[in-house]
Amino acid sequence: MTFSKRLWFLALSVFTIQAYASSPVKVVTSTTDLAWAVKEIGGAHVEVQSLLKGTENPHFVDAIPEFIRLVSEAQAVVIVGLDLEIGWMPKVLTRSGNAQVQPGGKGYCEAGRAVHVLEKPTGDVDRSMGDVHPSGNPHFWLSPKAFAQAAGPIAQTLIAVDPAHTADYQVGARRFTELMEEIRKKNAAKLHSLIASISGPVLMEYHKEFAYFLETYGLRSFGSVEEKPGVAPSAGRLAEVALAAKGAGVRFVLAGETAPKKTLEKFTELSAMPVAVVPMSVQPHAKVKDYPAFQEYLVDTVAKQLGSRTL
Amino acid sequence: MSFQANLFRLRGMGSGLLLVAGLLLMAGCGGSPKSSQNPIDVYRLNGIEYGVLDKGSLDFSDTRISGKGTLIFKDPAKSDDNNYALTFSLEEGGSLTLVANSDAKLAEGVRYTFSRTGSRLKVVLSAGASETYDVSETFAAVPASSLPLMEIDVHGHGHSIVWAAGNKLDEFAFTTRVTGRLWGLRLDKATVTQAKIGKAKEEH
Amino acid sequence: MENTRSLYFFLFIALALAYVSAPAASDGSGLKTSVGLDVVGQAGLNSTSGASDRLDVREFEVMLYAPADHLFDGMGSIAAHYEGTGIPQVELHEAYLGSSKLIPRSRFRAGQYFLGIGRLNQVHRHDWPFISAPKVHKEFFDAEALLDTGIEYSYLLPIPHFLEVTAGVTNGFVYGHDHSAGSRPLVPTNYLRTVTYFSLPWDGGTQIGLNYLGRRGGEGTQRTILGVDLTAKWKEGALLNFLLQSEIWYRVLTPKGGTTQKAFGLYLYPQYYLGENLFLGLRVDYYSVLNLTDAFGSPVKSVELNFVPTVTYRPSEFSSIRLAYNLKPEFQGGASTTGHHLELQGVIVLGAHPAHDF
Repeated sequence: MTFSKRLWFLALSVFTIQAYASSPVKVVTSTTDLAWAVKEIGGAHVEVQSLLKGTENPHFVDAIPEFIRLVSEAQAVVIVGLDLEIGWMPKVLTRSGNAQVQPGGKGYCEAGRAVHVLEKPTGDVDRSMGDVHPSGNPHFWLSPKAFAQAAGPIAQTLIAVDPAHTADYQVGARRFTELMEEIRKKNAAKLHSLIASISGPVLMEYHKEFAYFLETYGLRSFGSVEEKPGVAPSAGRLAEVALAAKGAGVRFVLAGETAPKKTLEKFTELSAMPVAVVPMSVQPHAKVKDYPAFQEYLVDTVAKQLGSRTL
Repeated sequence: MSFQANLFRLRGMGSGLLLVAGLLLMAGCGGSPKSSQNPIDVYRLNGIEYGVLDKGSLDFSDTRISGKGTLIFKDPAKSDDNNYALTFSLEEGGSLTLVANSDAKLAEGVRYTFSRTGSRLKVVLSAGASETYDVSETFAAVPASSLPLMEIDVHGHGHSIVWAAGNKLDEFAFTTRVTGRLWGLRLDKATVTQAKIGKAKEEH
Repeated sequence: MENTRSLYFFLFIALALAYVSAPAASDGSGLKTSVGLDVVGQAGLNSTSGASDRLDVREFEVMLYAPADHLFDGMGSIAAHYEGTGIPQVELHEAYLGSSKLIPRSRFRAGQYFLGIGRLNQVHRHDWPFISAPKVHKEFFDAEALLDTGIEYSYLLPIPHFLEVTAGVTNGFVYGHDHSAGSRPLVPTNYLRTVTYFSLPWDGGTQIGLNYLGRRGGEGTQRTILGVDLTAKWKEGALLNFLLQSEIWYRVLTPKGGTTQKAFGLYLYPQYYLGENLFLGLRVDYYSVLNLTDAFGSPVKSVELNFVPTVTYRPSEFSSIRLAYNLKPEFQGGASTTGHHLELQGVIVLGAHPAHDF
């Protein structure tokens, strides 16, 4: 090989290695909230795509072929875990033929495994109790305090897949944790004065999915409109719980956007109690386009129901 | 069939959806197209039309066929799985063969051959060109000199069930896949007074 | 007697597996057990209905699956069912090893399985959106599904659109519903499927598959089947607001030295969510032997239709109750008959969470 050819070869090799080394890590997440978190932690080193749009109920999604294709090209997959995606994600992972992102692979991340789980059932659990999550309540991203705990596994997975940027991911995880604490403090301050003077429960949930949010901000729940999780309440149940909630001084019901509208209308009719319907995830193309906006929206909704204007 | 031919058919299938509406519209139209010129003599047994492939020494009436010869029933079966109800008698040394799931020459398909030697009834089940099973033992209790109503299910996927006088005798399996829809009888010193085809008695 | 002994043996194994699988799963093996129970009854409404006029446990299926190690997974299922005769049959349904970790963008399985062709053939019968097999499926494959032993490979093309190709070859000693051990084929069963997916407006999506299957049996019969399958869904949360499912098939059977039979069939099933966990669907079946002739060589038109309005009550993804009415007009030559019957089905799924396939 002549000297000039060697030079071209060397330049080409350096260019190729440099290009490869600087390609962002392709990460696929199940939810938009996790996509936002991964982007906060990974920064410019990651290219993130969420499978869901933020408007779906993650329990009941199908293993859509497009999901399979996206996961087949990912270097890392981040899911909530705690059986939230048990109905569809295992199928998506298997059909992707991507060994790196399957359970046990270095690119597989269950963010929920590092979270201090609430509402983990004790004793025997079976389906006669409704759609019970035997691993505990999976909706931890609704609380910035709990969401911060997911930073660890996310960073660890990014480091495993892209060790060259370990320091950056560690810094990113720290910043993410600090940001979550900032959000928590700011929103807690909004609610503190409103709830300090209230004894007893202030709200009910339609479905028990707000446990982490309520616990973080010191809000007490009267329970859920659903008698059994995932089972639509009967007319008798609606009447019974409407009466009980009124008697206990509950101010309003908090429900996710995927809760059945007709059931909520019926409850309002019986109880004269308002229902506040909120998004359950970040929706990048809507009013809650990122996590801070999503948290602010939730807190402002609660504050409004408790009689305060948005701060 | 070549891969190219299959591909061609695949492309053709792409317009299958358009065919659906047309086919469904055609479905309700009754009546078959006019028959082509029929070179075979046509007879009736209890109202069911049949033609004679080999006249031999057959004797015909509206209620019986006897002697020696081969006949084929005009209308094809409605399914690959059918039941055949036969009432017949055999003279000493006589035989009757039911040919099912066959072609216009009764060359293919499944065959049950009943033959009589004294009071003994020999029954052979054969399928395709080479499968043959002597199932006489199943019919050991059936008197050859006065045969009861015989009902035979023949399922194209390789299964057959036999009843005599309404009693289920046995089930048989065979390997040959048969695709024909025509059926007929070969007689030799036999008399048939009933030959009907209908839905399989047991569908499995 | 033999079948009763088999049934008791099967029940013992199933119960033993269910008993051990719960603690076994907590030992880190990941073993999951799932049970499907499918009870079906038919009541004829006229003499040409062809209904069984009985209630049967159509299927009691026990499924086990787990990763074997970091590379391979295993799956097995055994089923007890009544074939309309009142006598239980016990059989091995699926038993295969596979992997989606060995070759990038690929998965394969080897063993006994329901062939990866069409739509209904790949879905366990108790998961179908209707009770019984459409005519074309029953004729071309089986009343349940085509099952054989072989190897199957699927590859997801590396393009910015979902396109997956599956190819498989199985022993082919038997085909579909077979009461014998079969015989060596001249050409084993071989099949190919290409499937793609498109998003649809209003949060919908559709999957379309093109299919080919071929086999030449030991007796020389060449079988060629071509088909298209389509599934379109619109979901809102847990609710399947609208489903459209259809398969269109064409088959050529050529016996050695015999008459070629050409047949065509399809089904179309739209289903709509009424509310209160109730779904209403109407399946239309069409089946025709295209080149049927009478004994004298005259063409005979042969068409079978089936109209099956179906109501499903599905309180959760683990149970359903279904009622269907079957109206079956059949036309052949100048004659027509119409059968009517009712079907009732109850399905429950126990154990591990079933996958939400599209």
